[in-house]
Amino acid sequence: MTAQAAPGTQRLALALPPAAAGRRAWARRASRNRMALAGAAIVAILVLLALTAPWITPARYDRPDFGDAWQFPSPRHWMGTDGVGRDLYSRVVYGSRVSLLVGLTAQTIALGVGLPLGLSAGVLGGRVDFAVMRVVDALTAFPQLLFALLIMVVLGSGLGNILLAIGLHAWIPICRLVRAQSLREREQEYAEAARAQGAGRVRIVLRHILPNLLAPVIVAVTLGIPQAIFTEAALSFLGIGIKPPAPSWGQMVGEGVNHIRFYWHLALFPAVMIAFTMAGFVLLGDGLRDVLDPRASM
Amino acid sequence: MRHYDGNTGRLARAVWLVMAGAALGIGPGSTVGAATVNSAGTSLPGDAAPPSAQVLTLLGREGTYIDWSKTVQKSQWHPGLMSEPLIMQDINAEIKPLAAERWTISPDGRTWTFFLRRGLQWSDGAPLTAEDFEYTLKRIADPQTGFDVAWYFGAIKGFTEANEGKASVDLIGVVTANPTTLQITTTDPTPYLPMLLSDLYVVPKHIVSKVGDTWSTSPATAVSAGPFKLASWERDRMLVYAANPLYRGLRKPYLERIVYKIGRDETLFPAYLGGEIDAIPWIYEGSVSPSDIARIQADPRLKGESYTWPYYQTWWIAFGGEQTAFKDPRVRRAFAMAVDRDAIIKSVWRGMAAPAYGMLPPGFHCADPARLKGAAPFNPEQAKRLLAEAGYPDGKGFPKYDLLLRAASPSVQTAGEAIQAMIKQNLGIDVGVQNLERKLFMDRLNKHELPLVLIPWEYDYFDASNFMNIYRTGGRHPWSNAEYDRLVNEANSTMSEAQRCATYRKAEDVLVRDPGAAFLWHPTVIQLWKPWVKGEIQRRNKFGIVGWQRPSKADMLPYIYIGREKK
Repeated sequence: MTAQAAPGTQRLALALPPAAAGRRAWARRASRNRMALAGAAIVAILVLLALTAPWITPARYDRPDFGDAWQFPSPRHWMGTDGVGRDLYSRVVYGSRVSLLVGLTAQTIALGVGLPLGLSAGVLGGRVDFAVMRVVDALTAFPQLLFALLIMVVLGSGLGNILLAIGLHAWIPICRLVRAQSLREREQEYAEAARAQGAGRVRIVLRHILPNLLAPVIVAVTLGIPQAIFTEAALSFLGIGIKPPAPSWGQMVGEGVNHIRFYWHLALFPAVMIAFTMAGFVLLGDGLRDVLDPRASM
Repeated sequence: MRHYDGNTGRLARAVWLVMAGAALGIGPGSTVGAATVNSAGTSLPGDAAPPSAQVLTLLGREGTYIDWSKTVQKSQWHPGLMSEPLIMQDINAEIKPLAAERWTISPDGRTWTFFLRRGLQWSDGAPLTAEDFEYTLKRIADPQTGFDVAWYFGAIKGFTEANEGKASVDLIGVVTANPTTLQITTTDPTPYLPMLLSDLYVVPKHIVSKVGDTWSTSPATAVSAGPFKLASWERDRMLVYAANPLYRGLRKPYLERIVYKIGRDETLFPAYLGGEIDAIPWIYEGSVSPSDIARIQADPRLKGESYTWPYYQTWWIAFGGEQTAFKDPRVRRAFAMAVDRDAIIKSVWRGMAAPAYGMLPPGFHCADPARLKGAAPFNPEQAKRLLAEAGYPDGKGFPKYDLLLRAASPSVQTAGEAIQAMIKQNLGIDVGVQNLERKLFMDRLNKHELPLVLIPWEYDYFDASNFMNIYRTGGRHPWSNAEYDRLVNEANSTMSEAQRCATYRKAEDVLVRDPGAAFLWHPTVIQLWKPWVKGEIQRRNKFGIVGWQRPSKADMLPYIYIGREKK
């Protein structure tokens, strides 16, 4: 895939970057990496849950049934009900939508901001590089959760603000990665060769450098997803993220821990889902790195 | 029993104390040979543990001061331990003389003369005089003090003007006639003045005028006129109170020490289960959560240690003023009729509450809730109609508001979510639920900035004015109704009990039917104490309640002792 996307490099076998070298090794490494497959399976299940939520749940996530409050898990309510009689299983399933939405959107924002900034910093260098890197340095000073907390306190709670709070910090690792890679790639022989053939700067970036960046960026984005999901869960757990009745796992755990001594189910099920989701994406990301970017895993 | 050696030492000390007490002639019990007398000079009941074991351990929140004439919201609880109000409330919520031995009222019902008990003193030996009370009231009135519920004493002549900075505090109606005689003048006849004064926690003038507001925060300066004094205060960890040997009032304590650990509400129940604390007497809703209640109900031993009783507290939804959509009474009424009280009580509170149809809780002074049952009943269809009439059919075009909660416990948050769901389901309106920090909430509430709040009021004294006054114009909420103000003011200064109640009820009718609020529920208190915690809390009061009354004010702590059962 990398080779196809970079036709300019095909003619220069010597300068072929290692990522594009073993197309057949790709499948071999993937099958060897059972953990990665398990991760992919978990992610696939999550996506399935999110897509089919309305058809596989008995009730809407925000529909209370006051006569049925505080129920333990039973055949009627697989995961029990909460203090206003909402079906916990429904809330947990719908919660996957929130988590996936947060993870994917935050990383899309991160990619949309981090990729162009990193590329321009790496390729243009000079003042642009200086400016971008100072912003990166300033933001790196804040841990992601602290930064998100700050943004939420200023902007107030809500899904949009959460995405903003996470996305505004998540672009930093991607920006750094892209900058570092493009700095290296631009000095590679294939880039030099392209320059010698008279290719313009934009063409070199788009046709030569960018395709060679894709593998590490895909890995970084995948590994950023669980971090974004966890940050949302942490914010909602602290009560400043997604507000009820929206079904955020973090918020459900936050409310559930207050009752954990008796109604253990309220915190347990969403907590397990957070753990599974994190594990799924991390395993998938690690696996993808092994497959796409073997240099990084060494 | 395992600590027998340690106990013999303490026992010897106790015996010595008895003999010393007998020789000096202090304490009523000292003449009885067998009775044990503690360090405050109280003879302990026959089933009490020895004085060395008279230690009660509690756990609760931490305040900034132990000074209820500086601040109520930020004060450490139990102000009654270290102060001696003029008047006290007994377990029947009746007033009894305390620092004031007796009092007289002038024929016009406006001037009250209080005669102080002789020999009262502070724990540094300085006498407690009428001047201390005068100083305390003027300090509360002084806007510089920043007292957070100053309107509470608004009945006193010149008080409001002084508090608003329009007149000097020296002009307020409180005069020291001589060291043991205090005169208080009210603007209008105020039959409930003694009730108000039971919450006037006197401060030592000779200390506070020198040290300033921090006087109550360290044992060196925190002199006490009450049955206990501050022994130590480690921030974020614990406070220890010790019996005050120089106390000369009526409330001689049984306990030698009260250990008050600082902790979050969620730690109360585990601490009780683990035997770290002797009781959870608090009446606020976070102290025992619905899941804790479920646990208590499932465990016979815990059930036997639990005490439930209806509390004089009312929860309601209060609305914003003229700048909000709630200026239209139809909108307020629609909200009031869209909330199903019974469903919330059954689900969120697991039955531990009674539905509220008006302001005054059942059994309270002048209360007659049954007549208001049909005034704003749960009726989704009518609620929807009213909302449409007000210009918001199916909630369309209704501004976005958050239902704001004041430092809410998990259960109150759940209640907020239940209300949110009902408003959505029955009116089609999306409201958020947001929990605010206590001080921020109160500051904004008092400035009438909050559009939609879920908030309680609990009684301070057994008199309808305690509830009705807060809804007068300029009070806690933006709602304003001239007829209501007139009726409440009239009732406040009526000396005839029957006439007063009739007028308060008329005012309550106005409040509920207008409506000024959506009244929701009156909580049921659940308290826990170990079998060895004994004393007046075991007595049934005239309302048939066995309970720990006004725990936050420590009214009953002097009458509590530790039984022999404690291992």
